Amino acid sequence: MKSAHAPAPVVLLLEDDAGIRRFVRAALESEGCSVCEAAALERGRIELASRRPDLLVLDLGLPDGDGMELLVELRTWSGMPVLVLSARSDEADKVAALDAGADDYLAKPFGVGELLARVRALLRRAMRPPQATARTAFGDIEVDLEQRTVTRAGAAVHLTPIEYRLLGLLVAAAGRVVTQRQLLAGAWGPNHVEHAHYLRVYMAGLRRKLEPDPRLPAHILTEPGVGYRLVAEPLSGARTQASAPPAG
Amino acid sequence: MAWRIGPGCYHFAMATPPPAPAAANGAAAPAPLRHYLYASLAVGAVALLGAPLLGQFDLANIAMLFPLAVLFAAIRLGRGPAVLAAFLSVALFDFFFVHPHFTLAVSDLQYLLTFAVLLAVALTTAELVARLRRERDSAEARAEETAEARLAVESERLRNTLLASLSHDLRTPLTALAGLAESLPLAGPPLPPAQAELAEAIRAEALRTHALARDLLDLARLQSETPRLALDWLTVDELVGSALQARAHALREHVLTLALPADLPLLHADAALMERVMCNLIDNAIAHTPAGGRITLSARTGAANAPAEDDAPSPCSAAPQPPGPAHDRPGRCGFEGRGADEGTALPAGSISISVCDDGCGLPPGREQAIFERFVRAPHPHPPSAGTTVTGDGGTGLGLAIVRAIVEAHGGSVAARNRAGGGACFTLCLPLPPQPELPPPEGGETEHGR
Repeated sequence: MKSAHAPAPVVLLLEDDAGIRRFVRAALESEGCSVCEAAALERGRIELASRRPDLLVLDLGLPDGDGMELLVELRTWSGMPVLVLSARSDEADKVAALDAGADDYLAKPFGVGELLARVRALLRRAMRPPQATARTAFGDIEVDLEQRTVTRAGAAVHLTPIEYRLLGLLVAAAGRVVTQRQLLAGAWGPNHVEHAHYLRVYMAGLRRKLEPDPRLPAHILTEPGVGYRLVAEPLSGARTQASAPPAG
Repeated sequence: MAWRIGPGCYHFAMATPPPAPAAANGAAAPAPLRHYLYASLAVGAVALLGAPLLGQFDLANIAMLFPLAVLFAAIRLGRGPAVLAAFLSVALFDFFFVHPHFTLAVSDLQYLLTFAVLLAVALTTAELVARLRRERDSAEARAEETAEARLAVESERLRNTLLASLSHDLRTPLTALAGLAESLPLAGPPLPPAQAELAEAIRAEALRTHALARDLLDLARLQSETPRLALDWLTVDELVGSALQARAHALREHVLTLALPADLPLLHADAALMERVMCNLIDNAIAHTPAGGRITLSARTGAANAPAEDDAPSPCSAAPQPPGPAHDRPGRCGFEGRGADEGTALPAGSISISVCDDGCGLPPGREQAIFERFVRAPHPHPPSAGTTVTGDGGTGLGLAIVRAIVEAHGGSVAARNRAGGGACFTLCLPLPPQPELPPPEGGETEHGR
């Protein structure tokens, strides 16, 4: 994000808690972002329309309404990346936000490192020209969506049509979580969104073909109860839960 | 180092409907003897009332008084006394009012018709009123049950709302506290080491407080009568893989062994909760195993003959066999009343997942107590000097949550010491009938060069 030529990306932070706004602002500014803040839904609407930010960091529980309302409204006129902050622990809420158009979510409490990793991924995708997304590499795997080829350490990898469709969906959202529903609808069609077991079988197949150790996935990661995330670089326990102290 | 033990237990008893009142099912309790006496007195009173009217009114009109006594008996005293009143009415009418008086003989046969009609009217009245009473009692019982059910639903909703609000209200300030401590270095020049250490300590304590609040609220949620489970089909590989990925950083100083057969069936469980189970068991193993120690994750099914990873049978093998034909149903796991090392076979239709370590093991005799909450017992084998053991920074609720989640899924969890040292935690889950797999695709494609 720090570039001598490009203007600083503008991030709108819509969060009602002053303490969270303060440290999120400090973290984003340390990454070279220009941050504007809003503490309520109405103010957020005004800031969104006037500032046209490059990224929206959205808390779902706001004093004058649910952040989901704003998310649904926003998706009718803008595709800007949205990172949802949620104090709700229920996976169903995360899925609902993602299915409503959020690009990623962070469950509270989250660390600065996690926040910045998600923000970087979202801004990188938003600022990359579309044609550059045709080729993706992770580990020793290269995927060329234009040529419809997948290679592993230079050798061709044969995928079934559904495996290829699933990989395409994950690659298109690289770094972000894709919900089960989105994957099932994308690979099998909207009539199969309840067939989670289809996904389990095919994801296991994809991992066998693409992961260095399918039992310890480094790239196709599971977000339990939510979906899957393709990461180019293996994370080291970077999920929210991992940052919490041992519970037992 | 201490294992967490303590009092308390969890109940996931199925809600049993309250016993229905006897009147609700139509089997009314027999009326007490005094009701029969009251019924007789009522008929006698009617006879006394009718006596002065003899000679002034037709007998048929006097006879109409007796159903009043039957009606009273049916309404106030029950069906039995009403029937008695019906027969007694006919008898008294005949005895006192029909010529010849003070005898049951009848001089005019037309009175037989009066008796028959009187008896029919009285018995019909008794039956109709008794039926109305039953229906009224039944409706009252139903209304009571409905009110109780509505109250239960409402209190469950209130409980969930309260827990969700508490969770939300605690997370927000703790997130700010941890985040502000973490972002201290971002606010100015790099902190001196002592201050950086303090900032990190503040962050860690905020996260610890959050973990404690989260665990307490989760336990309360899981202990509700109907814990909400988002059931989904899961593979054991994926479940174990995601837990290991979440704990990758903490596991970097341990040797990890995976013993997962390739053909394990799908689980039907709440993915997030089951990942929590695995993470808590892994955390527990890490906390009680010195750096460089081995942690083994393994799984096997009741039907398969996959060898156990260890030198002793799985604790799931202690699960009692369901009696009779029920043996064929999806495995109902349990360890009730039996030691973890008894038995050899895992129930058919169930799956066990074990997390074993070669750390310092469990206090002997406390293998089940460690699933209780909060109380910590001193460990009998403190680590020798120079041994590095990861800090025991848990909330003391991790294993209690493991048990609560597994039991909410109809499973069970047990712990035991391994013969060669270390502890083994094994959870056993019932396997439902497997879903239909996706139709095969028409061969592989040329997606590759």
